[in-house]
Amino acid sequence: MPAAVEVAGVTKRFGAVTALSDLDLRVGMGEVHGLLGPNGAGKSTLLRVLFGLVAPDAGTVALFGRDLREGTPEALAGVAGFVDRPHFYPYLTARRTLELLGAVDGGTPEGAVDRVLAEVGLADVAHRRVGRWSTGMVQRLGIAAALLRRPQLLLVDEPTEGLDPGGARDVLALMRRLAADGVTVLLSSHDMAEVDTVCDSATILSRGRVASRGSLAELRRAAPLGRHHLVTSDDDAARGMAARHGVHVFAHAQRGLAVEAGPAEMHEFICDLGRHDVSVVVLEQELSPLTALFFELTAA
Amino acid sequence: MTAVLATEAVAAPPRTGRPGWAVMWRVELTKLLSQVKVRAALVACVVVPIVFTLLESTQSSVPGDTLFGRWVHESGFAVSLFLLAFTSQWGLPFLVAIVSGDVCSEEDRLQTWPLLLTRSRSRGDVLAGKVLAAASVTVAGTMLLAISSTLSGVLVVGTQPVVGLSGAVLSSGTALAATLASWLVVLPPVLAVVAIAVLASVVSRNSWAGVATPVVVTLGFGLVSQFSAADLVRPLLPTAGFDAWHGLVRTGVYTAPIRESMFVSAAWIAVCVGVSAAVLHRRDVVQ
Amino acid sequence: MKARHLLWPCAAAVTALSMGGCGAASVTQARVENSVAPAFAQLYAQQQRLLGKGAVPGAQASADCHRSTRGSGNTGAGDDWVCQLLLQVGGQPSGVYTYDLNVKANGCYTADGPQALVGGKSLTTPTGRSRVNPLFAFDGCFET
Repeated sequence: MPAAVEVAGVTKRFGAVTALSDLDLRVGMGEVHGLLGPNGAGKSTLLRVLFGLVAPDAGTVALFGRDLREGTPEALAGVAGFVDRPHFYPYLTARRTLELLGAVDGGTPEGAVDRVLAEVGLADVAHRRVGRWSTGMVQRLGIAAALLRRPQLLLVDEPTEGLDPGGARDVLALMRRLAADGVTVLLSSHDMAEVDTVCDSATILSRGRVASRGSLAELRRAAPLGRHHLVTSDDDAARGMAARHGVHVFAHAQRGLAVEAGPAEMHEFICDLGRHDVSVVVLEQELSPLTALFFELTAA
Repeated sequence: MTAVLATEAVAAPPRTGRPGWAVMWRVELTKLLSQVKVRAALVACVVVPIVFTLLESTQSSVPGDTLFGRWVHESGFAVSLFLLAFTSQWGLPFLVAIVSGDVCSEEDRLQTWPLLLTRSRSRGDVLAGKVLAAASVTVAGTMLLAISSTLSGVLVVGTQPVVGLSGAVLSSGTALAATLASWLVVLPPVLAVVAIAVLASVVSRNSWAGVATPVVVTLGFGLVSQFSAADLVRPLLPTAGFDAWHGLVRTGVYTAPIRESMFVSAAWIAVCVGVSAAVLHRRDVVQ
Repeated sequence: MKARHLLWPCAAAVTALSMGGCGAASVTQARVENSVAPAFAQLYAQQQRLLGKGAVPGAQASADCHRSTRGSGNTGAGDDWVCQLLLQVGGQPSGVYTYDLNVKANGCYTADGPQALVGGKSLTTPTGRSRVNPLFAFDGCFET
């Protein structure tokens, strides 16, 4: 059975800049796969290559076993999504836009437009011209336009960008619902927390290359220690006790201490503080292990 | 099992039905006719001839420099032919510019190329839809001009015989046929200018350049054509076709310029559309 | 879509190029004379009809045209063309009319007539209507 997305040896240069370099990626059927990386890492370029918007200089790309290089439009059957932000025609209403996009697709069933508008919460404003809409509404319309194709593979770039927390939560819930229905999702994101909640696996890109990949569990295992901000009633004593637990402590930029430790070591350390009458005033996670991994892999 | 069903679903053949270019033609036509500037241009095609005819009928002087200008008080057909001669230089290129000049550069300006190109239509179909939509709306505008000019001339001035370009007087029936045929004969060069506008729109990716090009090019070609030194080049320019109707409104009709105009226009259309397709096919869409 | 897609446009361009006029100038003395003369004759007959003088039998004209600018060789577009038109009615010479022509490169011209001989911009019919005088000035086009 072919993978949903199979990328092998893809290289893309824009003039002197190499956006993607000998990149491999495989997303299995039904997976929810995160694509991570800082700006300029090549996430958007990779998505453009998958959509056929940009032709790679080398390598092969196949979606559901269909080679994109043949250039036939059938290669994109069952594939939907957007790169960067979705953009629409300002002089058309949302409903008209979706009707036209449905026509481009070759026709949609009766009521499909209403269904997707309801699903993203835009049913009330469907009659308004898109030119006046906020970023969040446009983002949701982009998702609606993708859903209209009843995709088997959803490729989305920063799907929660521009959405308020409620909207972002709804979109992530939608992704989870689609995944439960068997849709393969490839989503690119800056936000580790987002990836953590939705994805089964992830690929971290840095400067056009794959820096790390695997299931989230594998990535967490390979991750360096997370970092916490700790303020206690006696920071000096805390420092002294840190070494006993294999916990790395240094001064925090604001106040108190920055603590790098694995979860088990952290637990032991905090309990020990209490036993020695050192109370915890502030304890908050600053970098999850995955985020620390992200920074480590994508740093200079 | 879900995965197996998923494979079957995506392996299914694409939808049957209308061919891709026909689907995109309808989509692009809807987009064009939803735009205020296009609707305004089509309304102008109806209103301007009416306003001109009514205003002119109140004047004692007649327009000087254009063919049939001196006869506009004497025959409604002269009104229509005068408007044909005048708009060939000053009206039709603007109509083409407004309708066709932004047809591809709009996608660059609004960053909507991905919207069209990620939905299982080939780039050739997408371009074909735009070319056909621009062409059909421009032809519709030209025909609106023709009908409005002829009707307002006939209703305001009348169906009198008109002095043709050979000096002989043409009867009302002959004049009507010659007038309608002349408006039709101007369509091939109009379509050639549409193709030039589409090419400018694709290559420049800039709305201003796309809209300005058909006007500048038509005026430039017209200017060059005025010199006898350009005798060899003139028949190869699409603007030569705007004069082809001169052979119809007369006794001793000659049609060679019409045939030439059709070939030359077809060549310009083929080259411009061909280059547009090649440029679009190879482009990396990176907005 | 590769180079082969440019084949058809190139073929069309070559065809058009080979069909395009190669050779002689578009505005020649012969073409101007052969267009102006019959036009003038017919417009003369029209003017006589408008003035109520009835149909003019056998109105014919011959033209002798040249450019007044030296060195122009009597070819090419210009506003310096002058035509001597010899009118014959019923086989008899009936008058010589000198027209100034502005001939454009596309074969269309405007001929301005001698006001003293042919009348002003408009004439009055026997019924009192004012009509455009067809001989005062006229436009014509010839095939190039």
